[in-house]
Parts: sequence; C-alpha cells; structure tokens
Amino acid sequence: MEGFFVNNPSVVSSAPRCQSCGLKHKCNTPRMAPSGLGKMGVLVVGEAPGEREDREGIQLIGKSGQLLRRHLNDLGIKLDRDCWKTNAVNCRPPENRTPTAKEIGACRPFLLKLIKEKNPKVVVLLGTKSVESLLGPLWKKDIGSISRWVGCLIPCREYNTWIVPNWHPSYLLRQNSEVLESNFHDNLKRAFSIESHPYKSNSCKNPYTQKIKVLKNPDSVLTYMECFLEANNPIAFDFETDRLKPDADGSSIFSCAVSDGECTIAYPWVGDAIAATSKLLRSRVPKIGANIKFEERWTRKILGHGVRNWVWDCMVAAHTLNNAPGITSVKFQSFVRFGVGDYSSDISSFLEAGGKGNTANKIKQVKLSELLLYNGMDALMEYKIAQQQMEEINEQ
Amino acid sequence: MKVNRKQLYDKLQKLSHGLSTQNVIEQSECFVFSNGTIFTFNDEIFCSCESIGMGIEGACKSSLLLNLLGKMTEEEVEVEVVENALVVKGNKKKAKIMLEQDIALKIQEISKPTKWKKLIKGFVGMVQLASNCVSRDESKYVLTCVHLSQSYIEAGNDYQLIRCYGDVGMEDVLISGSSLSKICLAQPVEYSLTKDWMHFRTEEAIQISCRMSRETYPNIDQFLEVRGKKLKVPPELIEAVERTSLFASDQQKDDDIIQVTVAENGMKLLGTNSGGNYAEMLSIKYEGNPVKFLVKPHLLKDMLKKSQRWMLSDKLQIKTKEFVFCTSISQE
Repeated sequence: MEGFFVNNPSVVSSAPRCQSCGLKHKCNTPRMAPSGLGKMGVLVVGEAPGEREDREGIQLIGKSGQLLRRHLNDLGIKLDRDCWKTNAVNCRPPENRTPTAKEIGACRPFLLKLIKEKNPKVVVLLGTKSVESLLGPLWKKDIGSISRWVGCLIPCREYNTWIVPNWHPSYLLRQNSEVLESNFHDNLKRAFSIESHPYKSNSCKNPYTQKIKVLKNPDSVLTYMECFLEANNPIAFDFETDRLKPDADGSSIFSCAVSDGECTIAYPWVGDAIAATSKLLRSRVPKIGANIKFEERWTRKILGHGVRNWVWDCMVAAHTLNNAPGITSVKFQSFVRFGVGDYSSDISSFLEAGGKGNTANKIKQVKLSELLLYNGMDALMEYKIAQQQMEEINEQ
Repeated sequence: MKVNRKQLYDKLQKLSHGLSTQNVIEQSECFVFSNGTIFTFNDEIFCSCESIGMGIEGACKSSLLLNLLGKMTEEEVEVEVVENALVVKGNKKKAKIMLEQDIALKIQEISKPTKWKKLIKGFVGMVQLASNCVSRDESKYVLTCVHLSQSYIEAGNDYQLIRCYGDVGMEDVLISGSSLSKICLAQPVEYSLTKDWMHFRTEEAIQISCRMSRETYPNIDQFLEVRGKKLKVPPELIEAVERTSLFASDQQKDDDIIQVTVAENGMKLLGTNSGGNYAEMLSIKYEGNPVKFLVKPHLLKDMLKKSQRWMLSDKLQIKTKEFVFCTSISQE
C-alpha cells in the first residue's frame, strides 16, 4: 500500500521535541551544545551528560570521559582538539538514569543536524543509547545488545560517514576487564585511522536493488541459467518458502533468486524455471548460501536431490569471524558491511510463521514484485557478504 | 481517620493514568499526598484530586495501596500515618505501606489552569475515533498526535486518516494520541489551556493534564478528497467484522488488524493470528479491479454503525456528517 506521507518530509521530525521530553526542566545545562574543534573530522557521541558534565556544561569530563581521554592520549589524540563531542540526549536525566527511548527520539534531531553541519568522516558511538539514537531509524529493528555492534565499521550511506560503535567507558569502569579495555582501545585506533568518507558523494541509499532482474516470465529464466552454468563461477541462491521446514503437506517454494555478483535474477517458482533451477543446483557450479541447511533441506524435499558443491555458508562464516550473538543474519551483515539499511520490513511480517512450530506464513499475501525484489536482495547480499568473508578469513 | 473505601479506591483508580510502571522519574510510580491533594505524574500525564481530608504528607507505592483497597470489603477503612508507614486498617486487618516522607516528584513545570471551558458534547467519542488512527512511529512524531482545531479533530498515520467534525473551538492543539485516549477514559467534561499544557477536569473534579506539542500538523485536506465508485456495503458486515476480529492479527506491532478485500465476486474479510485464521465472504455489487486494505476491526465497526456507503478510487473513503475516514488501498 502506498502511504499518504511517503514523500512528505514535513511529518518526519526534524526539530527536537524538548517540549514532549521535559528533561530540560530538570538539569543545570539544558540542551548542552556540542563542543570540540573536530580537527580530525571525528564525532564522538556519548549517551547523556553525567553529574559533572551537567554542572560544567561540557561533554565527557567525568570519570567515563577521563577513561576515554586516557585511551585517546595513548593514540596521540586530544579529544577536545581532534573531535566534536555530543550526546544522544543533551540534558542530564535525573539521578543519572538511562535515557528513555522517548527522550532519545526527542533529542535525535540535534544529533542528525550536527552530522549534517559538520559532515564527519567518522562517528564513534559510545554505548547502546548512542547506537539507538543514530542507527535506530536506519536499522529499524531492535538494536539489541551493544556487543553485536562493537567491532563493526559501518559505511553509512545515509550520512556518508563511517560509524564505529564502541563500549561506553562507564561500562568498562564497571566491568574492570583488561580484555574489554583492550578491545575498546583497538576500536578507537581503527576509528581514528580512517582517512576519508566511505563514499565519494552522498550516494543512493540502496544501489543494489537496481541490479536485480525481476523475471515474472519463467521462460526468460532459462537463458540466465544457461549463462550461470557456462560461466561456472560461484553463485549464491536463496529460496522464499511458505514455512520454515518442508515436511508438512503442501509446503511449497514461492520464489528463488540466484546471483553471481554481477547478475542477480529473482523469479517465481513455476513452470520451466523449476527444472532449470534443479539443473543448476545439481551442477558443479560452486554454491553460496546463508544457513545452507535450509536450502539443502528444501531442495531435497521439493526437487528430490541435494545441492552439489556447496562452498560457503555466510551464517557459519559470520559466527566464525565474530561469535557475538545476533550478528549472523544476512540483513545484519548487509547493514554493517555495506550500509544497506532495512530492505525487509515491508514484507518481513508476512514471512514469519503464523504460529508456533512449523506453521505457514502469509507469503501468499505479499505482492509478487515486492517478494522477488526482496528475494533477489537476499541472494545478491549473500554473494557480496561471502566475498568479503572469504578475504577476511584468508587474511587471518 | 476513617474514609469511605470505595470512594477512595475510585479516586485513586482515576489518578492511575498519571502513573508509570517503571520509575521513569522519581516517585512516578507513587501516589503522592501533599497539601490536601493526591497526585500522580509520569512525565507525560499529571493527575490530581482532593485527598478527602486525610491529612497525609508523603508518597507510597501505588500498586500496593490500590490493590489492597480493591480487595478489601469494608465500607469504611481507617487510614493513618504511623512513623514511616501508611497504615490501612479494616475489620481484623491491618496493612503497613512504606511512606516516603520526602516528596521528590517535581511538578513545578506544570502550569496551573485558571479558566475552565466546557468540552463539547461528543468530544470523548470524537477523540476515541481519532486516536484509533494515530501512528506509533516516533520518527514521525507529529503523526503520533491528535490535532484539535476550531471545527474538527483529526489524526492519521501513513495508511489511514480520520477527521471528526464538531464545534471543538480550540486553536491548533496537538497532543499525543496515546495520552489523549487515556485521558478520555476518565470522561472529562471541561478543559483549560495554559503554557505548554492542556488540562482536563472530570465531573468528580479530578484534573488530568498532558503536554502539548508545538509542531505543525500537516494539511491532510488533499488526502480526504475521494472521487470514485460508490459502494453500498451490506448491513451484515458489522457482525462479520465482529467475527473476523476474533482472529485479528496479533503479529503486527500496531494494534489488531483485519484484511478487507473488495472484488466483483464479493467482499472478503480475513483475520489471521497465531491461533488460526477466519475468512468470510459477503455479497456486494462491485465492478472493477479487486482491492484490499487493512483496518482495525473495532474502528471499522464504529464507522459502519454510522455509514454503510463507501467511496472507492485509488483509496477508500467512508464519509458521514460526523466524520470522514480515508485509507490507502492496494490492488489484490
């Protein structure tokens, strides 16, 4: 359905909502202005002012700030000279409590305005709340624990900046762990060694959708399949199905997408396209997948044979490279590796099981063109993620 | 002192709209007794009323006091402060609820109302209809609000809009839809506007106040205009919606929704949730491409009680003298 306000920026809050937040009435330095000279083009975002920050009107000067400054000094960096500093919430919450989602939302326009004004090449996010403030609207799903974000170097397309989430120094003070501090230090080092913006100019938010060929006619699939077979290069493929497992009666595949990185096709599971897919999956063409047991199981059940020559599983590789929880999905990896924001929220609720166990989803209700585009994105991103992961694992 | 238990319980229950379940601000989960009044404030909604002469000063956990009074059976209970506790005595019963003597809940920012005006008849119904359509997307904050103006109350999200007509008599007031719908549960009869705050008062003199937003509500006139095919829906649709609502989706982040499809072979209602699904077909006279839309069943039911004539083009409109509702549709 086309939304009434899709192309109406006036409804997207661009002004801070101090009125509905109310914190400004409860602190000494309301709406603390950003500070720092930003000589290195790095913006450091904390969570909220603490007691000392609120009293003196400057960010990151309390115990947590001192810890951050010590680590930066070791790298030859002066926080006030080399960075701009701000917080996810610019007024101190009473009793140093964690800012609420509403307060973060109300204050977010300050942060976005600052990023537009200063155009930093790197934004260092300290702690979950600063991640929630900047990445929340882009990721659109639950931000979850900070541990899934720490270590990522996100090439953000929306603001043409590298986003580097890191532990909040107050967490390090509470944990008193050498390992965490070392990790914190390494992440700062990576952030400050970045030399330029990720893109030459403010780029398209998702340039990949244009690369996907949506083929509603099964005949046109055959030509592409022959090309994949002839080239014998690795391909990523992905099924969209009406439930998680193929064992129930009537379980069916709805669509399939295949990508070799250069060419990505997505097509409905009908007619000659089924036999052509079967031929490709039985061939020696190297196969890439994400959670390959899913595709393997469906292939065996529906086509009656297995997939030949699996070479990569993005999900297993993601876990091998980083064992933090909540990071192995194709969507998460696409976001943190390629800055590709949400491409699934319009249809994700239709793909979730309708109940407990292996119950059917509502895939039939999704518009075919939307489903194929989503399916194609999955296959293309699986291919691109796999290429990066292979390089990283070879380097290690 | 002895107080009427039911009277006290009812008062406290009406103040509970100002409570928070978490400690959003200090004592925001408490009933605060001070200067002959009882109040609650959760940073969004402020509620207050007279304390029926109990002479108590301090703050106590709301859930304990409210649940206790609700479960007692005596007509009168004795309430007094003993050391740091609020003591509630009934027949062979005695409860001690910790009472914080220092009142930390700050309410200075809430300006005091002076002039009260009567709310128009039907105000609560208009707000209830409108607040069904507000968005929950905080990134589009203005759409999470209800817009009150001189001659109408309106609200909407990306997919549905409603404007309810009436002599509201307010100058562009914007209030959080979730706050306003809670306030309307208390059936207010008067209102007052002060700097940044809108206040309501019930017949029992309970004051409920909430913050106003200073943002500008978008002009939705263009979306409410629909010229297309007229469609008369069958009267039995109301009961069909009621049946389908039992299976309204519980997967969406928003409220329960059902799907309505309009096609030449009839109107189909579909409800799907984790427990199962329900479909019902109704005969209608319609020529054109099949279209479908999603809607909250209770909202649709309320509107169907007032009108059974729809207008279909690239969107769907339900219009009466009292309101106009529009929803975007998609091709089946």
